[in-house]
Amino acid sequence: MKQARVWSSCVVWAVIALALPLLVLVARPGLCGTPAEVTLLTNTHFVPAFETELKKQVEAWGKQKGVPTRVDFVSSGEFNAKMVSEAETKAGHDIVIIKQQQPALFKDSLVDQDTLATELGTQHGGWLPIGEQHAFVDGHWKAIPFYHQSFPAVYRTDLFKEIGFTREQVHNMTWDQFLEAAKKLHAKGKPVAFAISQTDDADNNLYALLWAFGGSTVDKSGKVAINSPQTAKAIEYVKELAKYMPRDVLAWDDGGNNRFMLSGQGSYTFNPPSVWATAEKDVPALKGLLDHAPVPAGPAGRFRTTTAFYLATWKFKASPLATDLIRFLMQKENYRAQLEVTWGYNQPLGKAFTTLPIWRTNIPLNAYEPVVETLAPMGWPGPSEKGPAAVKAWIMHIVPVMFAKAVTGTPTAEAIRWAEEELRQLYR
Amino acid sequence: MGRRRAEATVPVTPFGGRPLGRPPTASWLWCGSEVTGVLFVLPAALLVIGLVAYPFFYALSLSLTAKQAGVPGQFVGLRNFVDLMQGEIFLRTIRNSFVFTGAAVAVKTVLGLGLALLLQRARVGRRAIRGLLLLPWVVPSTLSVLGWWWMFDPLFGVVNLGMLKLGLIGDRIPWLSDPIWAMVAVIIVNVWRGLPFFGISFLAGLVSIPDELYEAAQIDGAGKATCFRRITLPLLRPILGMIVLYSVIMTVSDFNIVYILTRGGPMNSTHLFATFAYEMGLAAGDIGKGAAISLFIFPVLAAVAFLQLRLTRRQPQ
Repeated sequence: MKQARVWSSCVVWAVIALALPLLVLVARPGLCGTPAEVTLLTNTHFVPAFETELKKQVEAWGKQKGVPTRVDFVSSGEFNAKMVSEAETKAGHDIVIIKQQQPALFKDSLVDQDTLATELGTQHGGWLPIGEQHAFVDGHWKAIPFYHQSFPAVYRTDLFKEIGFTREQVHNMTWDQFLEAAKKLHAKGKPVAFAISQTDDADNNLYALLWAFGGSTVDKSGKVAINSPQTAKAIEYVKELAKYMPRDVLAWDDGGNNRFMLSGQGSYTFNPPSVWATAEKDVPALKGLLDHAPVPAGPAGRFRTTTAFYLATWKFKASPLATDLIRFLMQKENYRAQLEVTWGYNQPLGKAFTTLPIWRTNIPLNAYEPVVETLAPMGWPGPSEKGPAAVKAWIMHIVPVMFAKAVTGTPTAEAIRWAEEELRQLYR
Repeated sequence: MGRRRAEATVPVTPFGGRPLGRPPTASWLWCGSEVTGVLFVLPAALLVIGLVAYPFFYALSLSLTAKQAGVPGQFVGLRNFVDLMQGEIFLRTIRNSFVFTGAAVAVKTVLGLGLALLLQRARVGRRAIRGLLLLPWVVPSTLSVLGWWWMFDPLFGVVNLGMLKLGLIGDRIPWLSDPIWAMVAVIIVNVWRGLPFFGISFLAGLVSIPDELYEAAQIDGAGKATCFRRITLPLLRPILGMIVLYSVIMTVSDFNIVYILTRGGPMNSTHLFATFAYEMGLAAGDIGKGAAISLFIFPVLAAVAFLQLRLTRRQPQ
């Protein structure tokens, strides 16, 4: 009798256990007539006002359509892993804001956006090459160009004035002139510095320098081309320059250069306008003393690295609502508000927006738009189909590690050979 | 003859189950203790299969493919493993893992033993001290390692500033920007975090040693060193072995400390299996290679687990 009671209780629990997942499934939005939630995922922004603006616009769209919405943010450090897990588990957000060569990396998981990209491209005055370069993969638009964040120089106007450099001279500087300035500023106890470490900022700084000396990780066909006299020249230059930079640059994270400048210790680094914006707002001692300048020029030209961001939808989450939300976010007035709220941090990928007054009325933002350097993403000038390899080279920080090795005593040829071996494995 | 008759009449019922030789009945199928035993074990077995066996075999299958995020992987045999062994970053990762684990576990063992001996002698506030000691172990590692990261900051870090003020160093130590110092830094943090566990575990072993043994040894003229060598260490050996082996497993697969402090840098000098696998598999989307990296750790962990099991079985003897 007792045993029968035990078994009947077991049966009841088993039925509940089996029924629970079904109940949860049935109660999901969208399955019982309730409208499905439209979700968007992006990485946290260095300018928090952008997050507020983005949320506000998404909510406004949701109200118009009568659809619940949600915007999720993940930190930059976790962003790539989150994207990989969404692609792999085929579960996640309706819209994801991906970056760099990720449209190529996730090309098989993303919805083709050919019609929308063409329509929005026309509205935005045509896409910049940097917008098209990695969003257009294998003959299809895998994502919609959204904005980019480039890495010009940010410097102390007072300190450069003291060593005899006018604004015009700083804006037209070559890498050789920069080295002379670095020596003088080091002597004054206010050095120049940029990351030579395993962090994204280091890739942004050092790819631009490498290109300016004529070197590159790969050629136009995607063949590894790092082992060149031009790369050796770039390394020798950085070895010399590093003598006048603090050693800490070998361990900096993405906030290292911000802290360096905002503490008042530094005189020059490369960064989007977060250093300047923070100084204007929170550091009275530096207010009005910072300006931005184009990246110095080398024998092969003047280059600026940039990170492009794209709006994309997964195939497993494709819906007309997601497409409509993308269209809404790219509407001229909404798009303009997004750019303005970031104080120029977000730069447009559509030509029509490069002439917004924000970059002319704020004198320290003059160097942002129009861009005088050649804008390029990490992995340039490799083809878009080599995007996955370029992503890996960037995430494993092959170029910064190559420079760091040389700076800390590894012979230049040995450092290049190391980078060549690693790149060959990635670009196989 | 009589015995044979008895065998035939008295049913043999091992573990109280059904009598041998009798055909199974429907009621036995539901109520028999053997089946009940299986049913009791089933949830645990399902958990092990679902959370351990399945991920392991899935990782094994992934490591044999050129799997990229979001697309089916193509079978490539052992190519991922061969490729990894040809790359300098991975060879460096192997070396780092052994140096990190060896140094951290050795320091934790020595200091943990010293800490346990001191705690055993503490007469005042023993409970409070033990409670405080566990703090580094119970605080979420992400938070505590962030604290260490600030303390190691070359510009504003309290470690360099403190040592400069005390006159212990003449110049700032490049904690996180020099390959050797960066390794020292991650080992220090691992030791700081793991030491309480060692200390408290060893203390539990120490208090279980009967005082009579020490008293008898002292009557026989044994000094403190002899008592430690001849009584404490031999009797502490089982727990010492268990804790060291457990710590090897936890240390070799550490992720948080390195990821937050150095992200594997400078120049890949602190990458461990877990951080490199994360970078390759999850951040770069090369899931096949990421799985292969994480599987390289398996033989080490299997050997340690085997030793641990042997030690556990010997313990009662």
